[in-house]
Amino acid sequence: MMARRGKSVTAVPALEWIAAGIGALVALVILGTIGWQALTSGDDPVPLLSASIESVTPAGAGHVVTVRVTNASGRTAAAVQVEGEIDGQTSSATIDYVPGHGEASAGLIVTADPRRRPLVLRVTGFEHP
Amino acid sequence: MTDTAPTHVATTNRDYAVALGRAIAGATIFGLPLLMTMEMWGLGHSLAPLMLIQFSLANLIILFGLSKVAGFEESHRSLDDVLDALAAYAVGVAVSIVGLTLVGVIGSDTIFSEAVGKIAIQAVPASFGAMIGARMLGDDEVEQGEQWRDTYSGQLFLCAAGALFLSFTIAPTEEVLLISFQVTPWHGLLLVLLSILLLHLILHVIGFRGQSERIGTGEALLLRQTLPGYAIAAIMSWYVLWTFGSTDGLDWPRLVMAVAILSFPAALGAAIARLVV
Repeated sequence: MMARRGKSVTAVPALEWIAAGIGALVALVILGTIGWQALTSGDDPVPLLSASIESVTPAGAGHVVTVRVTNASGRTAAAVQVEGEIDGQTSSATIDYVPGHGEASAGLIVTADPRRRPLVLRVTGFEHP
Repeated sequence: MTDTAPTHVATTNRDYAVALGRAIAGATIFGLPLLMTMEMWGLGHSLAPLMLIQFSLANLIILFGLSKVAGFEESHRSLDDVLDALAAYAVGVAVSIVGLTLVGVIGSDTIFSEAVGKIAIQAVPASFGAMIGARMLGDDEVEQGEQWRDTYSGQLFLCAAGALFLSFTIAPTEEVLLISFQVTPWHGLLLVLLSILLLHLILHVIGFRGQSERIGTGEALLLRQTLPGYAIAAIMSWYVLWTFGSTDGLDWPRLVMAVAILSFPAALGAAIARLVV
């Protein structure tokens, strides 16, 4: 482990150099990313949520619509309620979190086939985390 | 119970039974906080099977490493470490089955695959405890020559094991993401700096065993031990969050923030691992 080389008093093993390098790099990346956020991110006042259909899967007597909710703002939304209306029938689901500049998905269960009938999606509310 | 065994090597069945008893005690203590955490029960069926498998394999690798630095017996051969890792895993699984049954999470009406998932997740902290408990609750420590735990790579491994265990006990809860959403970047920066500072102080007080003669200045310690230790904590935090699906849908800044939040306990785990094991 402690390979002694003639001239240097104590040789530092390669593993220590590698570990030190990775350590410094990871710490810099984390501090840099968060520091950059601290300096640049203007405070977005509210989440900006939008919902879109990701997929439709026939299931039993109805269809499961996988809905993707994206957040265009930097502010995270919690308990996001998303609602879909098709042929006068309303289905709803709640998503725990839609992170700022992130996305999350939920499932709506509807009877009519959203591939044939128009499905109107709406994000109806959220909580501030 | 009198522990007057002259050596640490389990040579008789009775010695092994005593070690096993300690392992069960360790598994119970380490597994308890997570046994009574609601999110843990859900992980059993919300985790994809592949994630369960890779996490269980990672657990076995960590157990193997822990056996090299501690373990049921003072093992000398890799085969012993493999056997000890499997024994600790068996104890972890057994204690998890009993525990999960006692708190009513699994029962006769639980679907088999769901029960297996819950047990596999709960077995992670329990088997950790089994491995460490066998050593920690014992009173006889045999110091002998150059051991792996005294080497640099051994110390880094201990950091990883400690970081993984502490981040694992916190990561299943919803709070990690919630905290990362509710803090400002300034909070995050302070928490990262505090994590590194505490890690540095604890390492400085404890010191790397067997290497003290080469640790002169604070900067060298920071570079050689604290920052690698923090990097390990951060990587383990990310790994656990990724395994539990907590990183899904997060953009880079928010991912880093979540990792930074979980790295706080992980860094402390990395720091104190060598005290416990």
